[in-house]
Amino acid sequence: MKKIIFYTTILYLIFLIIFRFSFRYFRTFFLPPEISGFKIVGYSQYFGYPFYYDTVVFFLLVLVPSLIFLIFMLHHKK
Amino acid sequence: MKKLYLYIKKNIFEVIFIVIIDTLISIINYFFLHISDLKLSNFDLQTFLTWYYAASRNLIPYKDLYYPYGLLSYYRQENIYFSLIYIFISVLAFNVTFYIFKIVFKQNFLSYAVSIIFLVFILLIPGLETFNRYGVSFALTLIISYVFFVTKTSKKILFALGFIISTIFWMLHDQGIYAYIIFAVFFFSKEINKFMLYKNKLRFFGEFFKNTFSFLFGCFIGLFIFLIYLIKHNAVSEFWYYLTVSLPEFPVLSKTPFFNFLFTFNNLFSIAVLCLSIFFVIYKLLKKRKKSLFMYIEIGLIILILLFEQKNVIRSISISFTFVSFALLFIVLFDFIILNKKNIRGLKPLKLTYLLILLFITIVFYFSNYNFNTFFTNKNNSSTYNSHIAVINKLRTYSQFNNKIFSFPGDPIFYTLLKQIPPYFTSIYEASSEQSQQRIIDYMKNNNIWYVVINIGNKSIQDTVPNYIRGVYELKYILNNYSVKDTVSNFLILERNSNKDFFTKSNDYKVQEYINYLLNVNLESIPYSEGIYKSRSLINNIIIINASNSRLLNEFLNKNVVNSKNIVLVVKNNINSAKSIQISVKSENDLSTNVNFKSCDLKFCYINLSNLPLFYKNRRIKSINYNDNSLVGLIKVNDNSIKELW
Repeated sequence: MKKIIFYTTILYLIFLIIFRFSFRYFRTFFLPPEISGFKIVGYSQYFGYPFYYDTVVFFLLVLVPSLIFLIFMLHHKK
Repeated sequence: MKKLYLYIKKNIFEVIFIVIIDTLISIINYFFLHISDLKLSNFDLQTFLTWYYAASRNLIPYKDLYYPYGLLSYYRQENIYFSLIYIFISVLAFNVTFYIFKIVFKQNFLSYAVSIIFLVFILLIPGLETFNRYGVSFALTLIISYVFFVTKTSKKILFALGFIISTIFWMLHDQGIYAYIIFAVFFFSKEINKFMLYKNKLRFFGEFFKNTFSFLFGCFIGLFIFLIYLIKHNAVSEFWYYLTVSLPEFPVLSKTPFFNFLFTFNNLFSIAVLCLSIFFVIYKLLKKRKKSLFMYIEIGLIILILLFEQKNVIRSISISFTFVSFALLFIVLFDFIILNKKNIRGLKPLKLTYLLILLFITIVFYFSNYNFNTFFTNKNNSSTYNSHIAVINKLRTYSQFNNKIFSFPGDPIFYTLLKQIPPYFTSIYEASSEQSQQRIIDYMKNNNIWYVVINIGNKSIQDTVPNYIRGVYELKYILNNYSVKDTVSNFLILERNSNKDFFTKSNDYKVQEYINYLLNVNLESIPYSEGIYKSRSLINNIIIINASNSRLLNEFLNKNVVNSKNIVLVVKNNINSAKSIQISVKSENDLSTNVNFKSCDLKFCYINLSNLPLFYKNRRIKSINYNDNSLVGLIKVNDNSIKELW
């Protein structure tokens, strides 16, 4: 169990470091939000900040360690 | 009665504890009902004050004004029943929490100690007013988790849950929505599990429909009072509009980057607790531990935090739900401590360490959220209240003044001071959509508004988006139909008069400063995103000219009369490295506007000239000056196509 936690932490840290240096580049994959039929121009439309980028990143930050942990646990069980 | 007496006699310590805590919470809540000190320079607080004023004038939310929080906070100062519910809602939420803790911890001492630490955490970190709102969905999550753990979810219980959640929904909309989602997750998980176990699938479906009907019937009864309220005030369609249009609009207008707030202590704490709890639950599930109340509560709170985080990703509310993360942490921690222990009664040192850890986290949280700067600065923030009064005094000297004004971009305190019925949206922040701004324009037309007051100190009402961008339709109407009459402090007073040109040079430096501000426009990413998404709208429209350099373009504009109405400026930068583009558009009377925007990376940028303040009025375009590395064209767009553009 200790080994699993150790490896999960190490892999997550590596993921965080990669993410830290590539998140601006990663952001360019997302198009700026469209000014839709509502014709609303808020922060994200005005500055072209991708609307769903943060949601995707949030789930990556939360789910990546859980997935790594799950894979290790399943592997350990086998 | 005798049973109650016997219970009190048997549990005298518990009763005293509950009475003391409940009294404390009620007293604090009673003071929240009476707002006395508001910093009126903040438009958000002005809006809250205007909502209280609107409730006192018997204006109906959804129908007469935009109100997103539910009836409980709207009527909390006006209606005695709502006041009582407001005072006791967090008392109820805390009591639910305490009794669930009692069941979870199984030991009196620990449940009391944890409850006290939890209350101290709530009082010090998010504050009781936040718990009055977010504590409701927290308590409902605990109830739902408990109910799905202990009972076979009989029809009566499902009916009761439907009734409670729906009642909460009309009192506090967002909390009700969270509770609906958490209920749905537990309910469908349980039903899917049952489906796998049942051999007779027909019997399963029969029971499933009966259960669903019981819950929905409970929901209907819970919503009944609200429905009567809406029907009585003829506001059913308006509430439906709020639910289907205004509510989905809100994330679009309020989205800010999450990363600016991600690395705050509150956010990191919540994400860390979330990750650890998911680890722990996965571990327990894989080890096939016997189902426990811990597991149900942990899953319930994980879902609740995930829901809160979705709101947090749109607009930071991290401090508001830290108490949920804290509760999840101490439940997971205790579950971890007793995981492999058969007897939990003899773990005194561990329990003591556990309580010390919780206390330590509370103290760390308190200091991480404490703003030391406020200790050294003057706490009495200067308010603009006096200047609002000065504006009203000035207005009262005008013969045409009928005690009604319109405030742009949003100083709703004026409506309260003038005892005027406010517009549906009290600022351009809520009224960011075109339809909402049209509603405001109708208000100005229908209410015979002679004077408009513009706060020129407020260049961006929210999130650094200039007001001429967010409130373009409102400002267009104001500048085309009103002209400057006076200036008082930071306010321009405009009088209804459509004959004068707003951009005529003024001797008043404040007016001229505001004109200059409106003539130097920053469109940021708008031309870029319009270029990406709206190119189809421009097909089949007339290209007036496509010029590779400014000399050719200006020769054409000199020879031909081109008016700004329905004209779209198309710009393509030929150099990839340029980060921004500046264009200067000149019209008659030597008026010119500078337009800055983000470069479109060798793609086409579109600018609808009618949305630049100078061209709110239809004017002749005399010349356009730009860097010769760009390609500029003008397209005359028909009325249907222009509606699709910003």
